[in-house]
Amino acid sequence: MDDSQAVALLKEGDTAGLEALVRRYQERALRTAYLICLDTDMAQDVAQDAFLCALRHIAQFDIERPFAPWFLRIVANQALMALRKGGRGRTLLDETLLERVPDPSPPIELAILRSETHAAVREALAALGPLQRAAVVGRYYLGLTEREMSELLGCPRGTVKRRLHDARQSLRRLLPDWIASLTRS
Amino acid sequence: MNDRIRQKMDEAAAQALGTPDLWPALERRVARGSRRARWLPATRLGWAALTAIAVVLLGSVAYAAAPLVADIYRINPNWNPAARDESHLVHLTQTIDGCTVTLERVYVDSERILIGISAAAPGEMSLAPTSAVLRTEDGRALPFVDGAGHAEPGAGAYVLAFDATSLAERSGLLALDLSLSIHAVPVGEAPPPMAPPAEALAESAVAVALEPLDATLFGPYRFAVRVPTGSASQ
Repeated sequence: MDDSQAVALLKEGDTAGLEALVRRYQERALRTAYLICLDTDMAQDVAQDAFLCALRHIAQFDIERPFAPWFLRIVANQALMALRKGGRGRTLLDETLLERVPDPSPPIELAILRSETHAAVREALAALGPLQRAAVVGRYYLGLTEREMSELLGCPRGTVKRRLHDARQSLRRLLPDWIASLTRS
Repeated sequence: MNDRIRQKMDEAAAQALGTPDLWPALERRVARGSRRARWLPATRLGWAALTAIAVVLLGSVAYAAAPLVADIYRINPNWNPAARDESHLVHLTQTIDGCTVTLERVYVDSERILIGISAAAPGEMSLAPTSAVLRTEDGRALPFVDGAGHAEPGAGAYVLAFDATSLAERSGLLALDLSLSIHAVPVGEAPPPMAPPAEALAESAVAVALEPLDATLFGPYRFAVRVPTGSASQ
């Protein structure tokens, strides 16, 4: 059963469609939630809530569009909401995310690339605020477009575009040449 | 490079999480949710009765909200003070999933188009418009500029402003197509922002806040209207 068949079943109220989507996307949902929350229990709650949220809004979902990007944005948003409810992101949620990422030094991209252990990756992410982690996860883990980032983070597309461009320029200055060449490619 | 960053993040998350199966717990939660809906009518006659009651209740609320829309035109000092009196009464109503939206008024001048709407739904939810897009006859989306509103549990009135400076000087009828959705969240939670789609944002638009995705979303609602340009009439 492919995604569109599963979504069609779900729109008809058949939970077999939901089960198929859960089996297919639970791993990515859990990992996305974990990378933003950095808490395994919270990640499981968030992933479950995201599937239920998708179930509630499936009537509005256009079956012609791919399910994964829509659903994973729900996961990221649910993760941010969970952090807000838990009091961990309250101070950040009323501010535009990317305005708060002024040329990080060293940049998170470099910190992750240099990490030799998984714990080091988590430490690099933990050094960021919840919204900043969501930005990094959205950009590098989910591969969101500028428009999708704009929708997820609640800031105008132009701001996303400008800030991402600045971040890349900053990254090129700081990275060794061989990595910078990969960036250009 | 992006692939390597993604891989490192993926491995770190995988190591921390293991391979839990969410489906058993989710299946139980879905089953609990289905049981909660058993108060709904089981027969067509029951649904008809419930619909009739809802129409009466919502009609009353929507009628009460109409004057409120007119007052909201006064909130924003940047809007033409005459907008309230010179706006065109439209009063087109659409109901989706029990939530009724009424396009109350439209005001057009050379700088902006102000759209006055009201919304009503059963229950004690806070309602707010979102994803509002106003298109001209040729399909062009006019940039969303700002909005104002007043919401009470189960009802609300709002004015949305769109930039009309790109419209050529014209006279006669201006055809407009409005689409929007309505967010409903429990009273006490932060009200959802009036968030238009990204492509409809003006460059100068203020950044919007995160949308609470656990809110109920009604719509999209679509209204097609033709309003006279130049001197307005009621």
